[in-house]
Amino acid sequence: MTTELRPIPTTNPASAPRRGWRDLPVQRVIAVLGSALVASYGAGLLGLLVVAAVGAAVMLLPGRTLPEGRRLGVLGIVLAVVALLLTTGEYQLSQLTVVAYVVVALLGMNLVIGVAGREVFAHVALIGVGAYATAIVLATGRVLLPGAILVALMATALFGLVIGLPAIRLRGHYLGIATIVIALVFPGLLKLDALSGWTGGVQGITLFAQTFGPPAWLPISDARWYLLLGLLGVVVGGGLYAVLVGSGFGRALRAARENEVVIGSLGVAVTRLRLWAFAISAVYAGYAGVILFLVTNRTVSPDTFNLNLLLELLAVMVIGGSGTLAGSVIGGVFLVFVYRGWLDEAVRALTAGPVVVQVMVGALLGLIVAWTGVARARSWGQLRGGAGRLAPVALLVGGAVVGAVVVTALVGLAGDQVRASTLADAFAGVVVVLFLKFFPSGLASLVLPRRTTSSRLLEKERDAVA
Amino acid sequence: MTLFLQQIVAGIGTGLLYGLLALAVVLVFRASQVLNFGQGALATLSAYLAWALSGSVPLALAILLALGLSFLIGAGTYRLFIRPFEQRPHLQSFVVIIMIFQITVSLCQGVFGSDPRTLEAPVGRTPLRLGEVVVSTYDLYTLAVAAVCMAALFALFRFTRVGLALRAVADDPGAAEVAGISTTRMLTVGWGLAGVGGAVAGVLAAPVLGLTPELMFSVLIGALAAVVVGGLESPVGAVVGGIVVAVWQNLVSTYVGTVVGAIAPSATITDPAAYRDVATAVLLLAVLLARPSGLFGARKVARL
Repeated sequence: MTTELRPIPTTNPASAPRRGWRDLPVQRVIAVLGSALVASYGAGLLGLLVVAAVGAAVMLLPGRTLPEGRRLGVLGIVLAVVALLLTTGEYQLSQLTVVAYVVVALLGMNLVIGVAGREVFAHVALIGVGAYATAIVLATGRVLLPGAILVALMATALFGLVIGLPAIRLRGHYLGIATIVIALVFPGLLKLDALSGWTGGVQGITLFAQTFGPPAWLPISDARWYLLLGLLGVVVGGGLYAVLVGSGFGRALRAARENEVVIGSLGVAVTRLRLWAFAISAVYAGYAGVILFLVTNRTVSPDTFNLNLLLELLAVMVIGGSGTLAGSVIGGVFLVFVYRGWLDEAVRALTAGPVVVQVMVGALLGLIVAWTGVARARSWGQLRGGAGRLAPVALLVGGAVVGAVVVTALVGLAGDQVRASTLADAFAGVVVVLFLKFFPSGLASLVLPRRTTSSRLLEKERDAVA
Repeated sequence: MTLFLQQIVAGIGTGLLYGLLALAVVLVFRASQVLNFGQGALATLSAYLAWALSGSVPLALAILLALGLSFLIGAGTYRLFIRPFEQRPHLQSFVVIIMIFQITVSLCQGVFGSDPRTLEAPVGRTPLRLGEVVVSTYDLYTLAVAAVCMAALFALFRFTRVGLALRAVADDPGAAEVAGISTTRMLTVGWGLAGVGGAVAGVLAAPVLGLTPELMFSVLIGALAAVVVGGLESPVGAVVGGIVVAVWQNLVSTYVGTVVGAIAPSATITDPAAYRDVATAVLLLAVLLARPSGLFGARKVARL
């Protein structure tokens, strides 16, 4: 009797091809709608419609002509082109440019923090080096913008290596301390009087009167030229990021993140690998610095690169989804429009508004915080029985009351409007913490296909068989 | 030579402030393996609380009440912010800690304003001559307070049941849990104690540095360097490290003008104190370059 050898089924039911518009993954819809919304900021209804139409077409392309990640990539490029061509208004252009440089900076941070898993927090200083290098070179008046950009990128790569060589070998927490101390003292370093001949001391460098517009053959305004440079960074940087992460280099980095000893014993020079990742991420930060310099009226000052910037970047990096390309883009959009824009406005309105608004918002926040403990309260209640069953209700009511009292009391204690508005940072902090609690993998998980590593491997295998 | 000795002695007072804050950071680190960068901001909040209370009750009582409140704030920080993220990737708890920093600083600014306040000290600043060196009574007071704090902590960890449980949880949470010790409760106590330690540093620093929301910024940089010099795991190392860092800072700000003048005569140093923080970073990087686990840190070796 012969045993029949059956091939192992390689089709994972979860990743079977989808057919029909009903089965359209909700992630694609969210991605298209989100992009259209962003396009509508600068480019109005026209931009919204164009991105929605082209995006829908890209997402509806049948079957497996395009892998999911590339669909998102095409969508991103469409969004970039529409933003570049259709945006009207100087302010909107500059806001979008800020988004662009934040995305570039986040890509660099993601490469070393998210992919390589090293807690390096010195990127604010690296962005600063990029911006200052650009300013110093351009201030000589002998170099054009492309040359300055080149110098800035080389300077940051060099600075990154100088920090990276001692730092990258450090274990976990020591690396975190060392790099955050670098970030903390960086503004002070720029202000030192021994360096003020180059850095301009406390005032920084102002080249406001000069413009570094597009070359003669490109008839666009300066603001649009800066946006073009920024988006170029996003598209080229994003592409490079995708290639790097997908290559053997990225796989080795991720493997070393999971288990350094095993990957080292397989013959991978882990330290050298990480140093490369760090140098590349420094170049990203340098480019972000160049765009930052251009978009902030061609000025740099030491206090731009303070702890606050690091804080914002780290927050949106995790909110976007650390380690992912989509997360970097979402993080950039989130920082400019939600974190610095909408959230700030909302909190200022809250502190200026009537007491009843503060009570309601406080109660809502308290309710959300209390919600995190409901499961435990419920199990505690079931254990006790009787009145203990009311524990979850009591917790929620108590949370709401405490939240309302705390928020109202804080705004009341602050007294005048100026001081109350400084409470905005505290509220933003609480919102970020709550967000992390409820969305641990960040917003990118909303648009990325739900696929695990194993199913992706299975798919590759199946493609190879076919 | 007198100047040299004088700077060393003066460094001890500042160094103890760094050391106390570093001690709080080490306590938290040993308990829950996270670095609390927000400890300095929490200490500032404690100093503000002492200031606010001193308006209505005697100073000593106000300080004691503020220390008590700091215990609650530290414990509450753990329960509300740290515990929900214990099982998460480390980066997330780091972001949460940075948010603790932001929230605390913003609360100080919002509730107490940015104008400098004056927190009185129970001891004045009379200079005492010891041979050729001058010592301030305030430094002696700082030394006494730090000594009492360290003795109390030592006694707590060495001779009490709570201290034993705290050490057990820091050593091996799993085994401690099996032995019937509630990890959560002990970590809450640990964070509360760290809050008190930081608060002592804050209350000691405020009369000298001036009470503003940024009170502990430079102290935090010094404390982080102290932690690195002393090793993350070592409470004694933290205090010793604090003194080393402060003495180094004093020496740098005394002699930077001379040294830079010798190398580049054209450069003029008008504000030598500005070099303190940069010098701290240089010291920290140098120590890490020589010994990647700190001077007194336990070396964890992973051989290939």
